[in-house]
Amino acid sequence: MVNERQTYASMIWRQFKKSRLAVVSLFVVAALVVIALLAPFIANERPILMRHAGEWSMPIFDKASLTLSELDVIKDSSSGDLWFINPPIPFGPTTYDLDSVLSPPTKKHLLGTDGDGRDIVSQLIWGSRISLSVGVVAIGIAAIIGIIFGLLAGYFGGWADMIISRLIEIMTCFPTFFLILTVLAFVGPSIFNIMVVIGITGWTGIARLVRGECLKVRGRQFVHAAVVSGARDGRIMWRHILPHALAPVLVSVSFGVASAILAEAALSFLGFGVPASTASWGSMLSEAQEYMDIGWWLTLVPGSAIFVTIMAYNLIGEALRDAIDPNMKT
Amino acid sequence: MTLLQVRNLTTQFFTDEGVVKAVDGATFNLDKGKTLCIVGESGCGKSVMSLSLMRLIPEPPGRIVQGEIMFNDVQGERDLLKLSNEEMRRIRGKRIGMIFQEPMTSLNPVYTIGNQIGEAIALHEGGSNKQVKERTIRMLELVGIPAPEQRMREYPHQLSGGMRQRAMIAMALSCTPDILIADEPTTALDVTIQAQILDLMRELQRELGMAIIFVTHDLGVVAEMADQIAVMYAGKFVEVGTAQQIFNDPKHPYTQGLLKSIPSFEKGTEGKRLPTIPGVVPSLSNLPMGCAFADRCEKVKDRCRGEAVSEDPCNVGRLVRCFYA
Amino acid sequence: MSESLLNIQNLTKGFPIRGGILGREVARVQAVRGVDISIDRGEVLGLVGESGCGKSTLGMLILRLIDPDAGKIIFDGQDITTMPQSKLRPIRKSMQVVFQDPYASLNPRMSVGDIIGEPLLVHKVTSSKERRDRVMDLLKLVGLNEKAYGRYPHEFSGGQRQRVGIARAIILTPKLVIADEPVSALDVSIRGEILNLLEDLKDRFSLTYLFISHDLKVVEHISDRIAVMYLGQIMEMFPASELCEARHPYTQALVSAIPVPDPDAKRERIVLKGDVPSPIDPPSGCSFHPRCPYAKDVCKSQEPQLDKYGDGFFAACHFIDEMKAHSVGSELASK
Ligand SMILES: Nc1ncnc2c1ncn2[C@@H]1O[C@H](COP(=O)(O)OP(=O)(O)OP(=O)(O)O)[C@@H](O)[C@H]1O
Ligand SMILES: Nc1ncnc2c1ncn2[C@@H]1O[C@H](COP(=O)(O)OP(=O)(O)OP(=O)(O)O)[C@@H](O)[C@H]1O
Ligand SMILES: [Mg+2]
Ligand SMILES: [Mg+2]
Repeated sequence: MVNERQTYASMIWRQFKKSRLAVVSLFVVAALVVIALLAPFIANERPILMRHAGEWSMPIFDKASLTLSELDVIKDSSSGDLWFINPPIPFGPTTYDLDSVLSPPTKKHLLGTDGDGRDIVSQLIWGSRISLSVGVVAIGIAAIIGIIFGLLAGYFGGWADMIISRLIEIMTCFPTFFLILTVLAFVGPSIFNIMVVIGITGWTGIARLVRGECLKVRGRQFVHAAVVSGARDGRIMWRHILPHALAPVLVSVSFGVASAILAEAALSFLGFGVPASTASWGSMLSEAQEYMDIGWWLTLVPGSAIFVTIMAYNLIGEALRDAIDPNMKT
Repeated sequence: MTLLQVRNLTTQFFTDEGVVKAVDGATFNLDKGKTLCIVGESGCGKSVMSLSLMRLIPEPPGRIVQGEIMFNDVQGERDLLKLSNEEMRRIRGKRIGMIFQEPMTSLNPVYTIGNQIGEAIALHEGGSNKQVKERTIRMLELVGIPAPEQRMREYPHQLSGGMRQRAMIAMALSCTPDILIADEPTTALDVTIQAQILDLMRELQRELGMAIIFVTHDLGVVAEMADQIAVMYAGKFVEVGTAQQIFNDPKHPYTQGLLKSIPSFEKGTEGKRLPTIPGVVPSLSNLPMGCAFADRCEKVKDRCRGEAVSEDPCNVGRLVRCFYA
Repeated sequence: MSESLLNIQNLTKGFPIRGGILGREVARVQAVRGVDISIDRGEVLGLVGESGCGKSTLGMLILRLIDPDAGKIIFDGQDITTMPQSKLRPIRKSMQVVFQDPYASLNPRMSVGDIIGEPLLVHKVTSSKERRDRVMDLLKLVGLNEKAYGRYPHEFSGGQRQRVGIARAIILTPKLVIADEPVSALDVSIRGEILNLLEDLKDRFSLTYLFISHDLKVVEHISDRIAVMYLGQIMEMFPASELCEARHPYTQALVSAIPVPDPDAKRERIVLKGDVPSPIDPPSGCSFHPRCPYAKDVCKSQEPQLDKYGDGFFAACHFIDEMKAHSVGSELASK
């Protein structure tokens, strides 16, 4: 055994770690995921845990239960048997605090409120769910389509390759963003539609990548060896070719997530995105337009969130790409 | 006359995995008109050795950490490692030529071979365009390329492997260097073409009187070319001697094993088991303290593992790095 | 069942070279030109020739990794020349390959155990437990540690990887193994071990080898019979033990070009003039005539056939009867 034990993944990780910024970005993304998953516990207008009249309940999961402001009212009047834990941010994304409309950052509203008195921090946290799910689902769809088409084109060549390559060319010629706008105009804006549309317009890059990798690997001797041992096409593609394309696909995916998030923000900003009642970073920006001159925090906060997230994904993608650089090792 | 005196040349690469001791304390002399062959297995440091002599080690990660390379020509004796980059540049190509292992990667694909050879000549010798061109044609003729006026207008990919290697040789010889370093010049070629190239090199050596450092792992080629032989193992010279000494009276167990493990045409050996050297070469970044060959050696004793081996512990009279030669 | 395991007749393959904007075929690399070979059961046929003469292409044709333009491949009594891949799959069990490059022939993303066990998995021969046991047995057989099972190819040296490749090739106990330069990429000190291993396995599983190499010394060592290939054609075939009796001028040049590891050997060499001609435009008549020291006019116009000229000797040369076994060969043998 010449080298010490070291798998491909651990080798990539070692190279990846060399980029400080990328590691920081990874933490940023991880934190965003945690925040998005725990959003109901972090920012909510209802208590996390409550005991009332001897009964325990978790009002955050019960839309019918009393909100914090309502509880505040009855707290004084009711008997001592009322106890609850507040979430750290005691506002939901659609809690209208009419006492502080367009409030700049204060102790109560850490990053201020918007024109309807909704808390910005809360909207930001809930908005991250939209960004995350759009990123993951849309690129998930794109990756699946891209991998399948790429494998078919690269492995079988001939007609399959002809058709798929032309399709890729046609798709890349379209201005994707306007294609998305057009499609959304027909199917109607909803977060689900956005994810699907971004997904089915965004697979070309990955398909091209997988196809290229496939062509490279197909002529390698270990693929011949697999053919000689009698393996079927499916197995060869899955076991012998795909794993080689996976690392570059991962790079492409992290760039893709960034652009999907950006696309969603842009769509929502233009009003083609999620319905106004759902908080998303793009719709926050969109609403901030009205108060451009008085509410600086309204644009700065969601704008920075989008910026940081997209930077993080792009930095991760870049570091990954450097880490799998074939010049260094295969 | 001794052209080159190398003392204790040590080149290391500083990598993530640790320090790679690619060449460790190489010492040898090279005489005018003679051929020194460096043999050894893949990865033992032969190419690094030849690049070090030319001071072409990529830095970082590599560095020549110590030693001296005394080069002795009409201008007197000087240490190549102490020269400025500019002085060294003038020695490369002009006084010391080099042929690389892979001819395709060392010829520039976007220039014709005539261009590339002409540039080398113009750089070191100067002269009018016409003179340079004439000389280029003469060099191509010399290395046996037919119709050189036409061939010099072709690009490297239009030539066959043998032709390309000849073009490389023509380029290296264009300034009649005193020393030619050839790093596995025939490994990528076929036997019949290899025979042509080896013939050519010997003939040119006789004609121009240059010294050759010939790097290879093929003992057959060594036997054809060498006056002196240095056997290299894991970055160190383990045995140095004349061709007769190495082939007829090998002292180091590694040299003996190498010589035995080549299949021969002798009658009665077909179907017999080949003698082998068990085990693998140790990693150059993690060498044992004692003899690097100890784990594969039949004669190994405790002393081999515990103690660094000096150049000639058994007083053979030449370098044989073994306690029990 | 016929006596020979593999019989190929007039096998021909050309690769189109496409050029221009329309990708039309502008020329054709004639890699294999009408090769007839038969290999008996239990025999080792060595195939030698210079780089690019079509040895690997011939191997790939036999394995049906590429399709021939013309000719016939009869393996184990069955004509597999045009058999569809689905029918071919069960036959693949008895026909395996060891490749030249131990770095390119193992999937770097699969563990050694998975690599060796894959043929078993594909042919659903055994349960996963049995498969593991078989792979373990085989690891031992090819001289690797059992710990190798879960490791990845990059953790091994070239020689060790080649052992893995050999284990993969013989796990289904095939009848024919095509070894395409199995030792060319290895160091001298490791070559011997692999050659010995191949010989042991041959005896143990009564395998038949087509052993491809450009190194006549290696081929001579392992083979029973040698076929010499030049520009896609077989030039000469002879028993390996009678190498020095071989009379074709190309074979003789090959023999004499091999450097001998003896500094005192004074030998008369035949150094061929010129380069190997391009397979895109092979010479007319005998393809060796431009480099042949004995070429006459008839060689330029007429293509010689592979004819018998002695017991077990075949050659494609118009003047084979006038050729003498070269002194180099006998000189080597006498040493
Ligand atoms: N740029 C580099 N960085 C790190 N290590 C290097 C570098 N160049 C060479 N080495 C190491 O130095 C050692 C010697 O390499 P070298 O190329 O001299 O071998 P070689 O004897 O010429 O082998 P071959 O016969 O395969 O050409 C190897 O272990 C190699 O990994
Ligand atoms: N897929 C291909 N497309 C076009 N030409 C090819 C292809 N494969 C091989 N060739 C050509 O066919 C000829 C024979 O190649 P082949 O690989 O069979 O030679 P070989 O005898 O195995 O050589 P080597 O000793 O270098 O392995 C060569 O000229 C090569 O360039
Ligand atoms: Mg080298
Ligand atoms: Mg080949």
